[in-house]
Amino acid sequence: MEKIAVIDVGEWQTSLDFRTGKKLDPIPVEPGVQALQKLLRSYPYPGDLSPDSLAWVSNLGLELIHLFEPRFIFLSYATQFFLSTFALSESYNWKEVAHECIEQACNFARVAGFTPVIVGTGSTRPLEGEIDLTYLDGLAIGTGMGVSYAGLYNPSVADLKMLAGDSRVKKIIPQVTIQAEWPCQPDFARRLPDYLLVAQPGFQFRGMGTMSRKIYRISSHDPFIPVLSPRPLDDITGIAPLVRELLKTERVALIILEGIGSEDFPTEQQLINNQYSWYTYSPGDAQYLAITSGIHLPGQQYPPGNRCYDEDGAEKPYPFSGIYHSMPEKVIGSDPGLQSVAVGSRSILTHLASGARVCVECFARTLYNYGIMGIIEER
Amino acid sequence: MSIFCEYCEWHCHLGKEQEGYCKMYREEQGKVVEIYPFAWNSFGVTHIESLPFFHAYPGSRSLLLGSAGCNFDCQYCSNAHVARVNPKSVNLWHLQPEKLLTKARQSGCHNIVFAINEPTVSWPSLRALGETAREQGIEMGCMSNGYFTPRVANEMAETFSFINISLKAMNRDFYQRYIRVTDIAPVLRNIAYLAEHTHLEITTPIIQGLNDGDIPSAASFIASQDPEIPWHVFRLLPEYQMKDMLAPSIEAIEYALQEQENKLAYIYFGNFVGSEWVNTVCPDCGKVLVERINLGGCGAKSLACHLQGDCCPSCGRRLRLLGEWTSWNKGGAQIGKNSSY
Repeated sequence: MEKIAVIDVGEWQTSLDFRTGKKLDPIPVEPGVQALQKLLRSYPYPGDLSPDSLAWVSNLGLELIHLFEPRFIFLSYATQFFLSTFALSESYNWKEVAHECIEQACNFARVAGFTPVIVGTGSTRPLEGEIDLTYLDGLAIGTGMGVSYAGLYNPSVADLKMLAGDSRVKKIIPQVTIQAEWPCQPDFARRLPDYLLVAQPGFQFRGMGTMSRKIYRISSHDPFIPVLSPRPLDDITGIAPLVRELLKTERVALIILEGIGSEDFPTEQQLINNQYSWYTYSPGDAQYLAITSGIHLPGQQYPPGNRCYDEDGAEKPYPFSGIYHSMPEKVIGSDPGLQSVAVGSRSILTHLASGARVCVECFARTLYNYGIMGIIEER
Repeated sequence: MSIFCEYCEWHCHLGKEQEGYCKMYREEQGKVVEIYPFAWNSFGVTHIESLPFFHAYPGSRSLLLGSAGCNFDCQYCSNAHVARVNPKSVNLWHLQPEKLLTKARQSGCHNIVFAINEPTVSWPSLRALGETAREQGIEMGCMSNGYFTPRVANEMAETFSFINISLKAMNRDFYQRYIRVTDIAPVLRNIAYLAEHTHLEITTPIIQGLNDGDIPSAASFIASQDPEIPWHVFRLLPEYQMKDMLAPSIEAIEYALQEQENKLAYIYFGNFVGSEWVNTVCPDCGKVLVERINLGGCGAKSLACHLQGDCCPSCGRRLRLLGEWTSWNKGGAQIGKNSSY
């Protein structure tokens, strides 16, 4: 099955081969593609920092159910996380935004008639400071929103001594230690940095690739995150098996609420483990994939702090999937025979983590709103 | 004592406590000094085409560098978070040229490009970096608004092997109302100078209803300098003070650009995902020479190169090109290699 990407940038659309990024000629006319094209035209993305983006996810989710009659739907609401990360706290009311987010998710499940499994990815806290790694002799890589983990390559003895004496640095873990202690998947192992640096809570690293935008809050790295689920759970990797079990008898909505911790969650929540060994998940691909595949970090493809740009040459497939060279395996939405759809405001994580046969996501990069992308599996 | 700044056309009056318009310079012992020397905000690896440069070392890996502040006040600025705030409030980190060049080598970069904000506001630091880079065989390029003095234009041509100047409109009224500077003339003068002295590409952001009418005159002006200058037209998504404005119509701009294709050899149109205007096509026979994809942002990423050296393999026409196709993992610069200048 090939996937087709439909890009809508406002008043203009194009249809591309999802794997190569090349324009499809002739333009596909399959009913599913046409339905997706029409849908994208009707739902312009309000933007990463617009509270209207919460309803955008819910409304598109309902439309996808109406059009494609799935058994499984994946939704991710990220607006509240973007606001807490990038907006001055005076510019929004967190309690209201968090409440609205949870309301959207619960209402969606109720209206859609799906059994919800709702996951909060953990709270945020004010950024206390930055640990500048640019001055090191070695090369430090720190990407993503709130760099709590950084990769260090070819450090000098002086670098390691300096970092060891920095109270803001929680851990310095050599690659060999990780490989010895964790059951690393081969791609994960080969992409490990020489050293992985872990920041103390509240701090972020600044290195090669760190966003230039100022951030105000950072993930709290909660060891436990809240879940609303019809059955008991104890670990983040238990969510995918539970959803698969539920899917045997009912339609299920797996809903991710980014940046929401226990304090903002409904009281009937369960708290589940959000760690693997000394690693604590925070909003990002590793956490998403742990949720949707049931596979902990070492079994995934990319460790934190990797030099992903080394593999970004002209021949790299999946140009709309960030650093990924192949679609993650064993995610729920790609299960054989399962009709699945997804919608999310966390751009590429939506299709990567869901594996859904039909997916709609915002095409926003570092808060710039370039439109929407729909992806559909077609013969 | 007070003096006038010699870097840009504001010619700001500087004192010990008096910063210039860009808030990056002041006077010290009768000289213009940087308030934040060798201070940077952006620091990452990117594709040279993403900046965009389509005719300089296509395929190569660039170290993207930026500082803070600007000498323009574009009402639609896309990078206002670093360009239109007081540089004092921006997280800046300090790296001397030697260290920065080490970072470029460590990250496998072929060249260094200053973008994000205006290079003129960090000019002494960039000049020093450029000199060290040249000694070490790493080429540098920059994106600039072109509002600098003739002296800086001369130094830019010495420092940078490739420059992309933003030509924002073709009339003074636009520059006064939406850029908040008095005149367009210095920009046109510097384009004319740089076209003769370095590899030049030009970018024009289009805002529907404000400067789309200038497309024909901008194309004519560029052609009058050199019809081989690559021209990047940019579908601007207004931010900052104009974020409520609608994005420009792609079809309308495409139509306007098609009318200019007889004037310029290389016209590109980007900043929208899936643009079909990001390939380099032979102006004579129409063969696609460099295939690219727009992934959001003003530029693109190269997918394949079909050039033979700097020539079209089909008809043999020579392409305007600085350097040659430089594969992503090649690294290691060689100044001037295979240049068509």
